[in-house]
Amino acid sequence: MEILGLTFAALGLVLVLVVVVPATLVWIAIRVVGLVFRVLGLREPSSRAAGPGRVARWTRDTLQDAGNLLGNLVGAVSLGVFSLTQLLLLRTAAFRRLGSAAGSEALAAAGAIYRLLLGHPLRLLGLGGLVRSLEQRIPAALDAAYEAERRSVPTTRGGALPSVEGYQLERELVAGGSGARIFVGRPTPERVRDLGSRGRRLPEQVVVKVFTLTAGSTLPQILRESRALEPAGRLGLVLDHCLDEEQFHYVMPFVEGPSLQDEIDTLHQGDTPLDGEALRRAVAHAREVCDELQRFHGEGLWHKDVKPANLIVSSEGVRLVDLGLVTPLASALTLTTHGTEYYRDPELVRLALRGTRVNQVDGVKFDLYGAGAVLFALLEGTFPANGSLTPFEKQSPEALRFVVRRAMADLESRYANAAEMAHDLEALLAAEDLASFKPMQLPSMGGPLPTRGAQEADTAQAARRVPAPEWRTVQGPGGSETGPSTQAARDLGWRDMGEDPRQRRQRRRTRRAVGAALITVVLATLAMHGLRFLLGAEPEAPRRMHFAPLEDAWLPVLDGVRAERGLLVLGCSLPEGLEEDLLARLPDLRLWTEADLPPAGQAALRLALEVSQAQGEGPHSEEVRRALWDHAPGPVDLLLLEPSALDREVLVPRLILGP
Amino acid sequence: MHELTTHFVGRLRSRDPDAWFELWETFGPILRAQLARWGRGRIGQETVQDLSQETLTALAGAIDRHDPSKGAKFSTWLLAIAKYTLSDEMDRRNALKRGAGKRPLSLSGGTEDDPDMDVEGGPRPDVDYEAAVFEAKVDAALRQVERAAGFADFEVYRQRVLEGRSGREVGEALGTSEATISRKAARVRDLLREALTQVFGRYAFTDEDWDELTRNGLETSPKKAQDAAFDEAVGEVWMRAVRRRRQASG
Repeated sequence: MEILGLTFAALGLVLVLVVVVPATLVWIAIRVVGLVFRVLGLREPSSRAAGPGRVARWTRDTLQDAGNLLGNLVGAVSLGVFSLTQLLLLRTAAFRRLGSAAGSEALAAAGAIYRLLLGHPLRLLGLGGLVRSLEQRIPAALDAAYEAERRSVPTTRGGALPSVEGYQLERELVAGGSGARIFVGRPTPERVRDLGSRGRRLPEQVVVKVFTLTAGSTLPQILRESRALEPAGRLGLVLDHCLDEEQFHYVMPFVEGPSLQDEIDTLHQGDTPLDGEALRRAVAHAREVCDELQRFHGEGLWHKDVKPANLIVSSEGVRLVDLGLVTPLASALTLTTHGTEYYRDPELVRLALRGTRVNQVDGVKFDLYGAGAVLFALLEGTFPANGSLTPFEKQSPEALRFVVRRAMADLESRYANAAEMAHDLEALLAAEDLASFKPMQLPSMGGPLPTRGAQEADTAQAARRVPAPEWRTVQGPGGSETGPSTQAARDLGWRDMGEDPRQRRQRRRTRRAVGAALITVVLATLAMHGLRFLLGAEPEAPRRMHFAPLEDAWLPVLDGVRAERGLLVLGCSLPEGLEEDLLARLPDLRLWTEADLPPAGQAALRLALEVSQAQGEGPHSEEVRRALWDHAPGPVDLLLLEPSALDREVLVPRLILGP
Repeated sequence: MHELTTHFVGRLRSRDPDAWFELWETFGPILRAQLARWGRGRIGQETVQDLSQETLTALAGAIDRHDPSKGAKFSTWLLAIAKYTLSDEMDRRNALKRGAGKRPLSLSGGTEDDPDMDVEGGPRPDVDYEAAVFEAKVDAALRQVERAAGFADFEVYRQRVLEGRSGREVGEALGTSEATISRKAARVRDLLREALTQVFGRYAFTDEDWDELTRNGLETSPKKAQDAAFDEAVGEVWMRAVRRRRQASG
C-alpha cells in the first residue's frame, strides 16, 4: 500500500511538475505579455473575452485559411504555367494578364501562410492589437504611399512631367483625342501674384492642357484649340494660356468629382427603373446640365461634345468640361462631324456633308440634342442607340420621356434654347408626383412655369447679362485686399472701398513710363540728326521695301477685289496713291487693316500664316481663311503684302478671296 | 429596277451628300453590328467604326460599276462589300503576323472557318441580318416622317401606334381630344405610307425587296379599311425591332 501510495504521490508530483507548473508558467507568461501589450496599446480590448470562444474562432479561421492556401497555391501554379505558355507563343499581352493573375494568387497564398503561422496564433494568445498593426496599419501605410506616388507621376504616359512655366504639375489625367496631354497642377506663388495683379485669381488646383510640338502635337491642333479661348476666358473656363515656340498650354479650373457617367452607373447598378429620390436626382442633374449650356450659349459658345463623360458632378453642381471642340456660334468655319456618336445629332453630319458653315446653323440646338441624350442615359442607364426613335425600356414618367424626345426632335421642333428645356425640368422637379405629371403640364406645352424656376431663370439670365465684376478694393474682417465687388463678397462681410488704389497707382506709373519713353525716343532721334547735321554727314538712307510695279502685280489683283465685301490689308499699308486709286475705282469698298482685328484675331491670323508657311501651303490655306473669317469684322477678302520669292525687297500683293 | 431605286443610285453616283448621309444613317448601325459579329472579338469597337466607314467608301467605288441586271438584292450587295472590307483588314493584319500560321480570311465560300459564305462565293445573309435591314428601312421611313410631320403630330403617332396606347390616354397626356388624336394619327399614317414607298423604293434592287413590305403587312396603298391593320403591322415591326436589338445587346 505504501508503495502504491508513493507511486501515486510520485505521479502526482510528476503531473504537477510536467503539466500544472508549465501550464501555470505559460498562463503567467501570457498574462504578463498580455499586460505589457495592453500597456503598449497593442492588445485588443475584446481579448479579455478569452477562453473557448477564442479557441473556436482560431480553429475556424485556421481551417478556412488552410483551404484558402491550398486553392491559392493551385491557382498560382496553374496560372503560372498558362502564363509561361503564352510567353512561349509570344503573346505578350496574354502573358502579362495571366502573369498578373498568378501574382495575385501567390500574394493571397502568402497572406494565408502569414495568418496560419503568425496571425491566428497571436490572436489566440489575445494579441490582436499586434496583429492589427501588421494586417491593417502596414497595408494602409503602403496604400497611402502608393497613392501619393500615383498622384505625383504620370499615369497615362511614361516619362517625366513636362515643365510649364508658372505651374507645378502633379499628375496626368487621361487625355482625349486632341493631341494634348492634360495635367492636374498648382500655380506657383509668383504666377498667382502675377495674374492677381492683372485682376485674375487662380484657384489652388488647376488643370493644364499642354500641346507640345516636339511630342507630336501639331499647329493645326493648337489653332483649333485656341479658337474659343477668349470667350471661354470670360466664362472663367480658361484662366491662363501661353504660346511659345515649342509649346502651347492653357489653364482651366480643376473640377473635382465623379463624372456623370459614374453617377449614371451608380444610379443603374441594380438594373431597376429610377424612382423616388434617385429619379429626382437624375432630373436635377439634367436641369444643371441645361444651366451649364445656358452659360456657354450666353457667351456665344457651342460646346459640341455634351455627354456624360464630359460632365462632372461637383459639389457646386454639374459642370461641363473638355473645351476641345468648343466653337464660337458665330464662326464662319465649315461644320465638322466631330463629337461623340449617339450624343451627336445625326443632322449635324448631314449638314457637315453639305459643307454648311457654323454660322448658318443654330449650334445651340445641337448641344440641346446632347442634353436630351444625357437625360435619356440618366433614365435608361445607356445611350440612345437609335437616336430620337430609341424606345424607353425602363419605367419612367411620361413627361420626362417627352422632354427627352423634344430635345432630340427635328431641329425645327426642338427646344429653342437651354432655358426652355430647363423650365420643363424645373416644373417636373416642383411636381409632387412625377409619375402623374402629364406632358401637357410642361411649361413648353403651355403649362405654368414654377415660380422658383421662373425666378431662378430670370436671375440667371440677368446675371449673364451683367458684365464681369470689377476688381476693386474691398475691406473685410481680414483687412483690405483687391477682389471682385460682388453680392457674394458683400454677403461675406466685405465692404466695397472703391477703386483699388494700387491699380490706380499702377496705371499712373505705366502712363508716366510710356510718356517718358516716347520723349526719350524723340529727343534721341533729334539729337542724332542734329549731330549728323553738325558733323555734316549725310543721313543714311533707310533700307526700304519696294512695291512691285503697279502694272505687273497690282492691277490683276485689284481687278479681283469685290466692292461688296471689305478688304483687309495685311503685311503693311498700301503703296502711296494706291488706296485713293482703289477707292476711286470702287467707292463702296471698305478697307480694313490688321489693327482693326481684335488682339485674339491678330494672333490667330499670324499663327495661321505661320502654320501655312510651315506646311508649305502659303497664305491661301484653309487655316488662314478660317482664322480670317472667324475674326474679321465682317465679310472680307484678304490682301496680303509679302516679300516676293524672287526679290525679298519687293513686296507683292496676294488676294485671298473670302467665301 | 424601280424608278426610285434608279434615281437614288443616280444620286449616289453623282455623290449627292444627302443620299450618302441617308445611306450612312440607315445602314451604318447594321454594318457595325454585322462587322462586330463577323469580327467575333478579333476587332475592337474602333475598328468596327472604321470598317463601317470603309465599307461605305468601297460602296462609293462599287456604285459606279453596279450592274442591276445581275439581280442581287441590295442587302446582299451591301453585305458582300462589308465582307470584302473586313477580309481586306484581316488579310492586312495576318500579313503583319506572317509566320504565325494565320491564313487569310477566305472569301471563296463554304469553308469551315467561314460559314457565312455561300457556295457562289458571296456572303450568305442570315435571318437576323435580313430582319435588321428591313427594320432599318422602316426606321428610316419613320425618321423621315418625324421630320416631315413635326414633333407634336409624330408624338401622337408614336404614343398611339408604336407604344400601343389608347386614344384617350394619349389625349389626356397631350391635352387634346380623341378626335384630334385620330386626325393627327391619320395624317402621320399617310406620310408614313408615302415614306415607306420611297425608302423601300430606293433600296429595291429586286422584286423580292419590294415584296418585303406586303409580306410584313405594310400595305402602302391607302385604303381606309386597312388603316388599323397597317398601324398594327407598324407597331408589330417596331416591337420586333426593339426585342431583337435588346437581345443583340444583352
